[in-house]
Amino acid sequence: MSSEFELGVFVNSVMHYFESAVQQPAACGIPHLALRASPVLADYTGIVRISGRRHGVVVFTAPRSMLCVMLMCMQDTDLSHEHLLELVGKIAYRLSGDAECHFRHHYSISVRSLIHGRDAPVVYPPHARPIVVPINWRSYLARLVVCMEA
Amino acid sequence: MKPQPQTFNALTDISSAHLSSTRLAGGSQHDAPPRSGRAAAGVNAAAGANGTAATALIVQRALLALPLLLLTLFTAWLLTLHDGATLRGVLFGGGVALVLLLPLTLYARRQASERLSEAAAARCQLSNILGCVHEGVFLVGRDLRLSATGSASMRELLRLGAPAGRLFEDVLRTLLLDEETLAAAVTFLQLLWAERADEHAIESLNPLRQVEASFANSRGGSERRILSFTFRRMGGTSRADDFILGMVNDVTDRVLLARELEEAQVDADSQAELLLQLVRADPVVLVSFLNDADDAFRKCNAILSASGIGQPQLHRKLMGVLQELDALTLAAEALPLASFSQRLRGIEAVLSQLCSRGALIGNDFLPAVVRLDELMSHAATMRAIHQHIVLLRAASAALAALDERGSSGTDAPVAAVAPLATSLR
Repeated sequence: MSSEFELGVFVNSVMHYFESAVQQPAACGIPHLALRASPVLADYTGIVRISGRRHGVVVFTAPRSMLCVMLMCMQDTDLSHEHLLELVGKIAYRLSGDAECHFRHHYSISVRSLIHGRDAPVVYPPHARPIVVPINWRSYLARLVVCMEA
Repeated sequence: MKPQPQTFNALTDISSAHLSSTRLAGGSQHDAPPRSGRAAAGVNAAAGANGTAATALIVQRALLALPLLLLTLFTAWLLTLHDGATLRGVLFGGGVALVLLLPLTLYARRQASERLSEAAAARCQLSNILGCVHEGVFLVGRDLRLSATGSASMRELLRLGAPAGRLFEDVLRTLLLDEETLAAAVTFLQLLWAERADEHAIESLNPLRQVEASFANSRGGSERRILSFTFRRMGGTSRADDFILGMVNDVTDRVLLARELEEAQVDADSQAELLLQLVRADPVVLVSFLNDADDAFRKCNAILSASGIGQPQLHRKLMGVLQELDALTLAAEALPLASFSQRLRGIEAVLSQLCSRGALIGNDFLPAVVRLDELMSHAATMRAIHQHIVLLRAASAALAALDERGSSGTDAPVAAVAPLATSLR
């Protein structure tokens, strides 16, 4: 299964979430590689681990302000920490669901994990370069990071 | 899995039996097919039941016609001769005829009920087969509408709740990603209905042999699968009953595995080729090229990661990356490093295609970034192999020197070779 196909599935998954749940489409920025250091994390991060024929992680990270506006767009007034974490969890759940749907014969998709804070550690596969896809929504910027070992 | 011709024949027989039995029993074809594992055994029985059910029909009709004929003759006779002796003769004759006809009628009735039960069993087997067969089986009529008869897998594969009566074109329209394939598929089916058409020649034109289909999933996203359709025209009991037997399979895993295998084979070939190229290359020039390549890749990535998603900015980024890679391609071709220049040309082709587009979005750059990542991995592999070659050459030179000293009678400095051996490990 080509990396391009895999990456496309994850990007479409996030895009569809914005279209369906938030009712406002997001725009995919120019993807690039994280060469010097690990990709920068925002306030809330959802992680999906992938194992099987290839190992890797798929990370969705978004700032608090963006998640708050997303919740408001979804007519939700509860902007508590738990609720914001839950929203990131839902996006991670969507990512893992779509990954399972497409790659169930090739990979096993682990239960998502959620982290809070910009300094939280994310373990990427060694010798793999994470691909960072900026997700622009309104004036906010989230990131989708896909890192699969070769 | 590709459907076998035997499967087609068996299904045709079963379908014919199903049609006949439905007429006999007056039953409905819309019964939900139960899933069972007795499908294979039912094929022959169902095919045999076809002929017997038809015979039963003929016998039944003959039995109805014969008494009617006799009754008509008797009536005509009675109208002309109506004295007492004649009437007694008529009564006697009628009694004898009834006695003679009764066992015949009972026998024929028994035969007919046997045929009916055989037809019912065949219909049950057909339902079982359609319920458990992995391939999606469906029938398309002359008006290109789907019949109610179809396998359960077909409903799952094509995500169809009620296929009966739906235009096959409409079903395809929801699945296929491009209009061209849809138009070609409709033309193909119309061609298949042509009386003089060579079915086998037309089959080679099947545009749905391997098509990518998109299905909306419950989470609001879309799922892409690769489906393989095959079609065969089948004759019914009359021209109006002719149909096209369609079969559909999900070949996504098979196709993706084949692609992966193909890529692996290409990789294996290129690895051997790469090794030869590296052995032949001038070490100094090669290291210099790899350093330049690394710089170029980093510059390309920096251009991509710079801010700005407006159309002019996107086009500027595209041109910037192309320029960086263009210089590198020329250097790779001069060395020559075929595997490297081949990959570079691949990424350049992707970017050139983007250049010709009017409006760009971020998604368009995904293939370029993936290829850039692959190119960097390839450069890293080249560097690692080159380092091993350098160490091997050094070890080989040290061993040659060792041999020379051994032959001249001096003690061998084994310690000189030891670090090289450690590095190689």
